[in-house]
Order: sequence, then structure tokens, then C-alpha cells
Amino acid sequence: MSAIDPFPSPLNADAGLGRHTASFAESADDQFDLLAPTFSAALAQGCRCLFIGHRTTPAGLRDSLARRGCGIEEPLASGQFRFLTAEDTYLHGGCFDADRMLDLWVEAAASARAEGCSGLCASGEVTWLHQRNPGSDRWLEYEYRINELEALPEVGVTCLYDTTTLPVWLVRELRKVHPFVHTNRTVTASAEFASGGDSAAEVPLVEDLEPAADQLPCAQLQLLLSAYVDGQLVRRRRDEVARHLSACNHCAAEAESYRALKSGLASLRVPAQAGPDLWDTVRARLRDVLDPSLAGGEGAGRGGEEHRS
Amino acid sequence: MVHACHAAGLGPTELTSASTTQAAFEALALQYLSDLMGSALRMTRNWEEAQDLTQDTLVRAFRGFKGFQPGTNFKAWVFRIMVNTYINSQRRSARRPRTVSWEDVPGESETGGFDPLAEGSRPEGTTLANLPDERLKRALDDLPDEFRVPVLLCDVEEFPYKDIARMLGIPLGTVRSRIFRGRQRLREASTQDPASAS
Repeated sequence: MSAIDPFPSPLNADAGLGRHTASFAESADDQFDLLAPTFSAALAQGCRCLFIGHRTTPAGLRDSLARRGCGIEEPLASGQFRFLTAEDTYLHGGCFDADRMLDLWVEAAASARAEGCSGLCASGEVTWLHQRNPGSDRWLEYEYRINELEALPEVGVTCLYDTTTLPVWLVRELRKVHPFVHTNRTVTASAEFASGGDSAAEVPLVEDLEPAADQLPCAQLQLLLSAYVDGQLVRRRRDEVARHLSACNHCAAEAESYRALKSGLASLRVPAQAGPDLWDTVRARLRDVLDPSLAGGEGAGRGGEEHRS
Repeated sequence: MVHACHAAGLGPTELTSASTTQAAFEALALQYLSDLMGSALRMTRNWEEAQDLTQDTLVRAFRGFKGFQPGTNFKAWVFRIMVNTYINSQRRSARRPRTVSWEDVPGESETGGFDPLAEGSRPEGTTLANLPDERLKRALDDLPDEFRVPVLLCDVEEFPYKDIARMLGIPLGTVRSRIFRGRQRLREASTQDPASAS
């Protein structure tokens, strides 16, 4: 542990399990000031620790943590502490895939549990977010869905942002999808965090984080093609996809196959020939709602042959 | 209905109001009954469960009818209730094995030909037994709900992603991804050689 604990709040004195935090610290030093006591507590508790580096190398991490009293040499050697790169994880295959990344957390938590660890304490550098990698438009969705991971109670995730590379509006959106934020050397509950109601449906796609669609490799355009045939892309994206399709026979054929599938599925849209009793039963049950004294009597249950209005 | 309101101890004003509410609700519900039942059948893949789901949906919708804003999209509102009702029922119980296949669903003659929509508005030859492309239908039936429900809501019910996101309580990007992944699986499965698929 560091000689001086810069974070007197109890929020920072443990391994942070169950917490999903966005660190908007002003400097990488501030972020290591948070991580060192967090990883120390996690290692002491027998948690698996995981760091996903983008700017930080394994040696850099080891030194930065060691300077703050958190030695990870031995845990690295034993496998209790693991270092992965952004290229191995967030950006595997050159693109960000929210589903794949969420699966990774599920697997990492399960693997920690299977190996007898008491939890998973993880942190990742998202300092690549402004670089417009394919799939990054789903970043807010990904962060939102971390909060819904079943394993979250035994997992702590701290996302390390570099706010100097991100627009203010995006930082505001990021606050809405993280229950906790680290800023001004303190971790607090995010006042902007939204959950319940329509909050999931309100999480936007951030097209500005992705390359233009006509710059994407064909393999990474497929997701957009599917939304394109649904007419669900914003105008700029739609125009970009249309430009690509006019120049790429392969993708044009793919789009056509999505259209054919869509048309085949649309033909399943057949109003059901409901039984003669369905409407009578519904009406009887509606009457029960108005008059609960009849509920469980003639209006209850299905079938409803006895109901005639 | 008048008798029911009297029995509930409602006075003349409340009675008129309740009657008006029920009449307004019934007019809307009747308009979408066949659509709801059709969608319920596609979701549950079981005739009896579909009837239950349709009934439960309309009862829940009626209970919450005060929350419906006249002039807004009733279909999206009531479908959201149905999708929620379906998802909750799936969460409560592990999915039961299918007992009735699409082909076993009673045709028009067996159900007495009841159709709450005007006779002329029903598509020609739309009994459930002669739905198009058997392989596609089976592939859709075999999709996990995670993909099947968004695909149904998009391609069959023709809701925009935004409505589907609200119905399922998931982000827009998840809707887009699940529809895409569902379609990938459907394309794969429906183009498979039937012999190798079975």
C-alpha cells in the first residue's frame, strides 16, 4: 500500500467489486493513484487482477504500481495478475465488437471463479477510443451493458479514459452509462447515471467514433448492411453505405440477400385466425378488471366458451 | 358491462367513464387482435400459449390504459406490453417443449372461421399451414429468443429499431446487432441442405 492513501473515501479502500467506474482523471498519474490501492486490496483478497493496456506497457504498469506500493511481480508470475493489450481484447481483429468484449468479461469472471479467486478486479485503458476504429460506435452500448452483467457483483471494472482526446458531449454520455466516476482524485456515484425505464433504449450509437462506412473493410460493413436494408441508418451513414454498394459487387449481393431474407420473413406476417372465444374471453376478463368481485369467476382463465357478451 | 359496473359500486358518472374507457380500449384492441394473436403465435410457437399471451397482454394493457396517450402509436404500446409479458413468462419458467407445431395449429375451419377483422381485409390463403418457405420458418423457430424476437419485431412486425429497443429494454446498438446476428444464422440455416440439417 502507498504510504499516504490519497483516497480516504471507503469507495476507494477496497477492491471495487460490484463497481463499474469511469476514470476521467486529469492525468495517468492520477489514474495509477486510484489503481494501486484498488489492486493492492484485490490481491490481498485473493482476487484475479487484470489490466488491459493501450498506452501502458507491462513494465510501465509494474513500475507505476510499484512506486505506489503495489508490487505485482509475483502476482504476474503466478498468474493472479494478468496483463493484456487493447489489441488482444477491445480491438481484436482490428475492430471493436461489443458482444465479443462482454463475452470476454463473462469468461474472465468465470475463469477467476473456477480457479478459486474471490473475484475479478479489472481495469482497461480506453485511450484508443478517439481513433475511430470500426465498431466503436457501439462503445456506449457496451459500457451500459457491463452494468447488466450477472457476474458484476464479483467483478470490479475501472475504465481509464483520456478526456483530453474526447469531446465534452461524449464524456457527458459516458457519465450516464457508468454508475461511478473517478475525477478530481475521488470516486463518487455518478449523478448522471441512468438506469431503468427507457434508459437502455436511450443509449445512443456514436457514429462519430467510427470510420466512414465507405472506408470500412467489407467484412466489417456487414452489420451496417443489415441496418441499411432496414432503413435504420442515419442519413450520413446511409449515403456512405450506398456509395460503397455502388462500387462493390460483393456487398451489393450481400445487401440483396438481406433484402430477400427480409422479404421471406415479411411473408410470415399472417394475422392468426383466432378462435371464436378469444375476444369473448378478453372482454370478460376486462369486465373482471372493472369489477374484481367477478374475478376468478366466469371471466377468469382461458378458453372462455362460457363467455358470451 | 353495465351490470358489472353496478356490481362494482360505481355511480352514474364513474359508470359512464368506465364504460367509455372500456369502449375506447375495446375499439383499439379489436383492431389489433389478429395482429397480436399472430405475433403471439410466432413468439410462443404454441396455439394455447399464444391465446393466453394475447389475453394477458390485453388485460395488462387495459389496466395500464390510463398511461396510453391518445393519438400516439397504440400498436407499438400494446406490442411492448406483449413482448414484456412474453419475456417475463419465459424468465419465470424454463421454456417448455413445443407441443404443437405450426402445422398442427387449427386452420380456419377448425376454429369456426372467427376473424375479428373485416372479412375482406384478411390476406388470401393465410392459414398457418401454408406459410411460405418451410426451411426459413423452421430456422426462425430454432433461433434462440435473444435473436428471434428482435428479428420478428423488425422483419415480421415491421417496427423500427427505436421501438424494438424500448420494447425489449435494450440499447439501439444491441437491437441492430441481434437482428444482424439473427439474420446471419437464418441465412445459414435456411440455405442448409435439409438432409444435413436434420
